[in-house]
Amino acid sequence: MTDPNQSVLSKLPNNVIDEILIRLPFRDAVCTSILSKEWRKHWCRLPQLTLDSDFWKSKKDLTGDKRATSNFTMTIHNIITRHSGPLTKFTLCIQYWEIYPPIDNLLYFLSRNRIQHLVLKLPRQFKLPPSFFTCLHLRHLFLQNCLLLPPPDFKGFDRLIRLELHEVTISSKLLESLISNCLLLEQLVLRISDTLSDIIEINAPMLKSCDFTGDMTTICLKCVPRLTELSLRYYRKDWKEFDVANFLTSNFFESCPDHLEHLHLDYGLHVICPSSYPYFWLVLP
Amino acid sequence: MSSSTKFLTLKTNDKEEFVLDEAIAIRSQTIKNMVEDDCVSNVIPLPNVDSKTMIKVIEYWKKHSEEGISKDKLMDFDKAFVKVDQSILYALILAANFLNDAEMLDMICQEVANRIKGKTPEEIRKEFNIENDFTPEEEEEIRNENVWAFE
Repeated sequence: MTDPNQSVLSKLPNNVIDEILIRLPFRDAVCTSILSKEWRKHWCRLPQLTLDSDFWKSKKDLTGDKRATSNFTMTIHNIITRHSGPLTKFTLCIQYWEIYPPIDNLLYFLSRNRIQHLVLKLPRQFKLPPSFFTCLHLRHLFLQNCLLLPPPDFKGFDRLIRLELHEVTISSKLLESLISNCLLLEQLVLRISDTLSDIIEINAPMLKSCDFTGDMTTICLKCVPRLTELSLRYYRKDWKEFDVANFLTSNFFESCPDHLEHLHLDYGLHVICPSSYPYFWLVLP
Repeated sequence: MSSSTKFLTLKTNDKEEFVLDEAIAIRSQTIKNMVEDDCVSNVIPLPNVDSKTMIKVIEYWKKHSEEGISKDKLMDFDKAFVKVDQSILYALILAANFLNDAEMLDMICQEVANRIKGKTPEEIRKEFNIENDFTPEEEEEIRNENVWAFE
């Protein structure tokens, strides 16, 4: 070969090739596995994988038809059987699917790989398989639309530093214990449009920021000594009106620590779209 | 210029010297660590970077350190910055990686990803001069593993 550029791309350090591959849509990243033996190795040991909407080619695939399901199963099988080396971050977005594909083996695999960062956007009421509760090395967790029913001996994810739950079906008691078992938790994001059955008490000694969308009369900041940022957005699926005056004069804010720096309170009497909310800012000294 | 401005001298592998405001040079985590650990003598050697590449890196650092520059202007600058030949782009990647400038590395890796995106394996091989060392049977087998990706 006379071209001076020969394989310059291939000669980049492994960490740089990883950085390039993780910026590619999944389909394009898979295509690089066929370039050469070297590139196949890069693909097989990629430490971050994302199966999001880019993975599904047609609109039909988005809702999970037969072909998409078989492609999905094949892809998961390939990841489980071919991946080598650490896998620290995994993202799966199938929230528009109308069927529930099996992900139990995938989650066992991720658990064995000591997954640290997991994003699961799943179809409504998708029941998380038991393997999910074995991912005990998680530091960042994002869940959307699923149903959480842990086995009785589940003690929580004690290494979490960020927890984000969007429209997850979870009992008040479980949510409360999930949060209080994360002693290192620094960031909490909750979006709950269904009304919780009981008030949840938030106990998180390291929590720095809390972002809650839902009915804020159903949460209580019990022990959050390090909280500096608090964002509350009122939202209820049943559009029940929010008694702002009552909330502002309640003892809700008494439990806020003195050094709270930012408070964002966003309330809407008839919620149409979040951007049209009347809102105000309160910045405490 | 205020009297407190400190300057560093950076020496590339082709023996060129660049005198640069420390506040700008510490965009490089590598240089920042050296300054913080107090292991900076008069000249900081950069054995992995040549002068041609360093000129580009400094151009990027200075633009991104300009006070009050708008995001739009920076985006335009970045767009033009990465519109270079592959060989320059790789030299910049290696420099950003060695200097440990995460922001710059992120931008250039994204540019390389954009150049790969949407291409067939054959097109990628051609564009990046990658030699296919699979036998036809091996290639067929890998294609069958992920047949959906090659449709």
